[in-house]
Amino acid sequence: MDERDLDRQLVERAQRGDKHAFELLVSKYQRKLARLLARFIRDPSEVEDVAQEAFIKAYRALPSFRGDSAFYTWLYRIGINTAKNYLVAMGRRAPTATEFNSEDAEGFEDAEQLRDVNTPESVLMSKEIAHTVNNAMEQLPEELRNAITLRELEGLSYEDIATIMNCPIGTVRSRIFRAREAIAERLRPLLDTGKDKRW
Amino acid sequence: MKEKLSAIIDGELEGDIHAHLGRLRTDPDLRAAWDVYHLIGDTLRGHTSPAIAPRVISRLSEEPTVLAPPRARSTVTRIGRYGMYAAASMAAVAVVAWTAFPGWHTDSQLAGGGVATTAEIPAENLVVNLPASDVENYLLAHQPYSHVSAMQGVAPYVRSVAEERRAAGK
Amino acid sequence: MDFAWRAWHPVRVLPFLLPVSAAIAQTDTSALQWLQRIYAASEKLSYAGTFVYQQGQRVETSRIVHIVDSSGPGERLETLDGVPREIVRTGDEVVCYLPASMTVKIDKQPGRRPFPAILSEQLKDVSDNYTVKKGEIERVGGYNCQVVTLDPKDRMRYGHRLWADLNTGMLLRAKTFNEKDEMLEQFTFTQIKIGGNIGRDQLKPRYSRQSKDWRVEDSGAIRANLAETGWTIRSKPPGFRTVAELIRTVGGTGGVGHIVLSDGLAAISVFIEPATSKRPAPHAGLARQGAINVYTRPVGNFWVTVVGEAPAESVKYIANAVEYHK
Repeated sequence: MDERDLDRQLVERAQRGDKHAFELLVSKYQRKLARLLARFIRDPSEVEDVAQEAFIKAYRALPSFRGDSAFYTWLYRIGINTAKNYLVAMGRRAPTATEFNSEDAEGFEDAEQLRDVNTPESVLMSKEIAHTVNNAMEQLPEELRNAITLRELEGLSYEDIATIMNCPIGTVRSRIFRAREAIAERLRPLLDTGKDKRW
Repeated sequence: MKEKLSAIIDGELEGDIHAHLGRLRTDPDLRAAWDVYHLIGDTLRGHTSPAIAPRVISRLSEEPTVLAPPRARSTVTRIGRYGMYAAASMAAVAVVAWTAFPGWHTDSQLAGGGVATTAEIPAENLVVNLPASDVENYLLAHQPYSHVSAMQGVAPYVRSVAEERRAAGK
Repeated sequence: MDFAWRAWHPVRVLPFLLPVSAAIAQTDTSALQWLQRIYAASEKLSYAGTFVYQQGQRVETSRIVHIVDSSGPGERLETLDGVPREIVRTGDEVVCYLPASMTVKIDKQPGRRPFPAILSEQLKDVSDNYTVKKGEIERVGGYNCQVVTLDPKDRMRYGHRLWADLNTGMLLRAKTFNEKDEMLEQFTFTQIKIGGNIGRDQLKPRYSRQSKDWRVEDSGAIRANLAETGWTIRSKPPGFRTVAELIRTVGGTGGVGHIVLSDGLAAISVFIEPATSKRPAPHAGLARQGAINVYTRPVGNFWVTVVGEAPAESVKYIANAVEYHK
């Protein structure tokens, strides 16, 4: 099983009526999609609206997703279409084909700076989250930091990471888990702040 | 449990994950872990934004639950009850393949429809091409008059959609 | 409706039942009544839902809203995947928004039958050309439906199978079959709300055709007698007769003759378009997608294109029968 299988299984569950499975996909791809839309839509609150719209459209269109492409690729196209519609409906020029038809939907990684969001709280929150994660990373024991970096930033499989780090796969799995938990522990107080669990 | 979740997220858990996906539904701690592990990964990659998921989830709760119809096997569905086989004499036809539509190939059913006459032209030798947008215009003009369409409102207009899609999405 | 229609009891009289003549006694009359119900439902009912159109391997999902109230009927369809597309119908005008090409196509439909959509002569045509029978009760989208089958009596038309909600007659699934009983296409509602309060705001298109960025293709159409211009259809396939004749604009080209033939259920359109230098000349040929066949042939300085949800034989037959005499 690989990550694409995981998505496919979640989609199939959703197609059989398990809405929660779709919610997991939303949680997983929300930021990636928002990042994509921000390339075309300047206003961050509009990005949120359009992203939301795209997810709902994707949910309604689930019956026609047949697993020929990866779920995110399909979601990406729906996101693009939704953004296009939105821009056109707002009377703005729809971007040209080259701007929209970027092929590397799955490989898209954006090294841009933190984009400003419109409310002071969310600016602060974004920065705090990034800050907390970075700090936590620095404080991790080296082998945990390496493991999670190789996984999240290099996208390597456990097997490859095991080869690079010269350890058993089980150890890779455990290190990645412990890294995540260590960072999560630092994040939890931040995320639990206030009733508004927007993060 | 969370360690298994961590492996599942990376697509690295062997075996059937259904039980685990089920537990994600019922265990709030596990669900929170799913959210925060993904947040960590996104943050490391520089994907930051306010969370959109809570609003989507609350809207989803109002959406009618989607159920996908059973997957289409193929167009060849034999319905025994409707035996209407008559001897066919197919005049020669020039088959036009609407190009570039994935999954839509030269229709071999046309050739296989009955007794071939001498003038039949094999599909592969044909180069002709009907501009997709022309057909779309004809289809749009035609739809309102179909009584089959009358039963379905504007629903059959989706038939015309494919042509525009091909014309636009080269 | 708060009680179940049990239309297979012939004694129960439906309010819109038309007298059934002896000539169509062979066909199951209660099945024909179901056909009437289906037509009436599609005109009278307000509904909103999601449906899937399937043809071959192609599956597409769309959202449709249909409202009937004191301001009249209105309808909107929006594709949910693929190239964005929106179609809005109010009264007899259909507006089609195509954002991919920034085009708006506007089509007025004179000659479209007003409610009730199916008249007795049309019913007679249907029973002449199809054997109409009731099938089982099956479930679609959570509703119990009466299956109605229309078997073609010859090879000039396709067969149909319809699933109509027992309570309201609303058509929830429709399949088209060719002469080999292979399914050509299917429409199925996966989710639908029938009746109740559906806000008219759901008919509003996303787009504004007033915006300068859109290219507007207005298709004006007027009734015409094409025989006066020299065009005739020498003979028609059995069961088909002319139901409309117009001169219209199609795809920006004016002066296109449009004749509609029908067998009571399926319609076939004949377009007679002057060959212009603007676009590359099409070649004669047959094309098909799902249940629709298209056949084009040159006649003098014109292109004759026949389009219909009927087998290739019918479409070709008609195309070859189009003649021009000065």
